[in-house]
Amino acid sequence: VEPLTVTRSVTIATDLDQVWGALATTGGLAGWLGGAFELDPDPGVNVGLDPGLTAGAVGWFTDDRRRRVVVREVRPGARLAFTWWPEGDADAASSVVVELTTDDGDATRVAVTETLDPAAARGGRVALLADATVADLGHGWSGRLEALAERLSPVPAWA
Amino acid sequence: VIRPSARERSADAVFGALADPTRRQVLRLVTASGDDGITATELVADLAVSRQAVVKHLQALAAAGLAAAERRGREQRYRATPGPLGDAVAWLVDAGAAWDARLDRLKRHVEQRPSRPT
Repeated sequence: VEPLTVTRSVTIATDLDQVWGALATTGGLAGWLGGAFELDPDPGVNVGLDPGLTAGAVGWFTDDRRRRVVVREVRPGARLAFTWWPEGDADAASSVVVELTTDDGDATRVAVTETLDPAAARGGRVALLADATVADLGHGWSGRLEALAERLSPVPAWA
Repeated sequence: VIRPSARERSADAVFGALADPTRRQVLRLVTASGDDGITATELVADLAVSRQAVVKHLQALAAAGLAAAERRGREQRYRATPGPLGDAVAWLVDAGAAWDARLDRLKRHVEQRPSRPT
């Protein structure tokens, strides 16, 4: 099956840093993607705090449907890549790459490519889910271990 | 702003083919004919257009991948072929429209914000 690709781009009359700042945060993504975007919390440590948009972060995006999102790459000012799939349907995973470029500093071109590759999605499903699991575990255990460490040593050892 | 991919161009062909109301009616009748298919002559009986016009519509639908012609004896019969193309086109249309709206939202949001002091 041939992969399906949608490519769209727009030129914005604003410098690249401002465009990146507006699009590549959790709140920014929610705003321009047009839905609710929430990264999985980092239990024990960052409760209530935005864990931040970094490679390996896992979250949920909800507009007319709920989608699992795995952030693949965050190259500040240049590139944001993520993979997402409708809840419970990892076979329908598609990858999204958002790239920013500028020619003169006054305008920024934002190009989006979304690729749905049914063969790759099936083949890559294990890898995708493994990524999500590793990231979930990473969040979970870093938080739990730090919380445990705090409980075990209420008085800092170097005090 | 828009750089269509090859599959999007095929989606455009589908939309082009379906832009005409008579052609949509032809496709409905072809679809209703099921696996047996239908001939241009049979379609003329249901439509207020000439046989020549019906043949043209059928050829446009076939070119867009929405119908397939099959020769049986002296008859050319047409069947609808919506299956996988339909799914692909639906995905391309939905994803394309969603990104159009998102990039438009991003552009409006960023360009409306006051510039940072330098």
